[in-house]
Amino acid sequence: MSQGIKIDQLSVTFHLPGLDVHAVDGVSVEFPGGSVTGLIGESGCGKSVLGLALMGLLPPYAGVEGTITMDNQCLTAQHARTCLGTQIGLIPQNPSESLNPARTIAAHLREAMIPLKISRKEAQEKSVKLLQAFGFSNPGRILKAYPHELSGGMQQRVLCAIGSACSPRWILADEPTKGLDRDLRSQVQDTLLSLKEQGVESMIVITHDLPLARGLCHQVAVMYGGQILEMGRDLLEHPFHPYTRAFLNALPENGFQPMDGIAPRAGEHLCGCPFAPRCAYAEARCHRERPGCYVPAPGRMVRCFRYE
Amino acid sequence: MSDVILEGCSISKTFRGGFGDRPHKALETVSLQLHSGETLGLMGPSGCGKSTLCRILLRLIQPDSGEVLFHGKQITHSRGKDLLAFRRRVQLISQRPESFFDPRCRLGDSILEPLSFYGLNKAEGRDRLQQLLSEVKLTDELLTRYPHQVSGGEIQRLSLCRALLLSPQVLILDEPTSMLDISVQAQILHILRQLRQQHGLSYLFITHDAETASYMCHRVQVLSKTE
Repeated sequence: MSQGIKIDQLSVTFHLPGLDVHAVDGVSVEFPGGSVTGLIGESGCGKSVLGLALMGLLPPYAGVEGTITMDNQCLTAQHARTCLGTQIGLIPQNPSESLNPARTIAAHLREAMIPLKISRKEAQEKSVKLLQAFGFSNPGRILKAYPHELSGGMQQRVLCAIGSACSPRWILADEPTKGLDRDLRSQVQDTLLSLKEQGVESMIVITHDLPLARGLCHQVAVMYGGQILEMGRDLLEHPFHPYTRAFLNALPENGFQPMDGIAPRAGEHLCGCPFAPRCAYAEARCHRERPGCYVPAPGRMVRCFRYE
Repeated sequence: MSDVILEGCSISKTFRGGFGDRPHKALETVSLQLHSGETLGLMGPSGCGKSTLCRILLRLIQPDSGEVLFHGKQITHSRGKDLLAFRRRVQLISQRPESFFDPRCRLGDSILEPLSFYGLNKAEGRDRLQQLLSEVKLTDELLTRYPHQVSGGEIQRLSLCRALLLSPQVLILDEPTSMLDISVQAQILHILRQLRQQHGLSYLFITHDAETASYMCHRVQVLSKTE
């Protein structure tokens, strides 16, 4: 079994004209092998950039510092790209935009299987089996279909099939339920759970769909302003960080209570805790110093001076 | 909450398929009445025709049969000035607000552009925009940016400003928060409720989320799939 992915002091900065955007700001985190880790947070908090850094898919103009190791081996951007598909499978966000409208589903799956170096006939047979595994009763028709002929849920299942085509040990799913209705969301959750049967050992699920995170993830990390503020098991049931609490208060079952203040803007770099300007408990020190990692309960980590 | 402001009567719509495809019946004799000052929820599963009904009510597509009435006046076949006046009073807020803005234009220019269609004073429009920006809790600094330089929640609030600048009476909200984060969703729903009271608006709120509907709507109408 995989020993896990370890990220140490990872920072990703986009140097734009007159502006440095610190999308990921000194993140240190460990994704244990054999488990599903959820990465939750608001849009623009750096979740997807962290995922792209893991896959080595950041654009060349991105400034990357820090190290990523997988199974105790350093995962450079170049090495990560060679692992793409075979070691780490990607399920990208926005299924309708991730599939090429001019190519059939069969062509997409064939392309995903290039690293396997198998014949066209073998690829066709494997594609049929994969689609069956993801709940398609008529895989022959789906293979001939173009993306626009499939519903959102079907497109999402096709992307799951593409992501797991080369039987990777890890899957990175980026917002797999964004914009889908409730029925389709539960369908996608079942699909992700069924990835385990396809040989996937571990998953990182980037999402802001909290019911999905609750139903799927063994542990959850909360990101805000490019930093991981809290991480651990049962985090959604017993949050410690004021941001996590405010985030959960916005849930429908808690009456859609909006969070005060506004999220840090792109390019805004705060010295202390990134949530301090919006935090009801913030002290002068929170604006000045960055909180360390504290352990408020076994298996939990929180970056807040209240738990020092 | 008594006068009917927007009404759809027995609306049917079938989309003809391509070669070999069967026609798809999207709507079959659907009727709804939106009263002044109310929020009417329109719910149903994906593909049940919610967005088609919304496009028909906005007069973006024609129904095969049935009528659309605005303040009791038939607008199903209106053209020219009548249609332009109707479009000013009934505005759309989409789940993809970025599609309202030209990616090559600054946001402020895109927001003020509709004023010229109606011969409205741009200087007055700018003043009103400042007031609207404060109502949706944004700053005018965003107006000089391009659409890709703002977040999903910010661009949705700017699309609200664009719609409200024309003093509409009805907003058709087509899943306005489905693409947003939970915390931003809560902010937008909160703002929408405030704006309804401040501007005396009526909302047709399309959603597939029961909790959102119960938070926002006075009444809910459920559409089911025709086939």
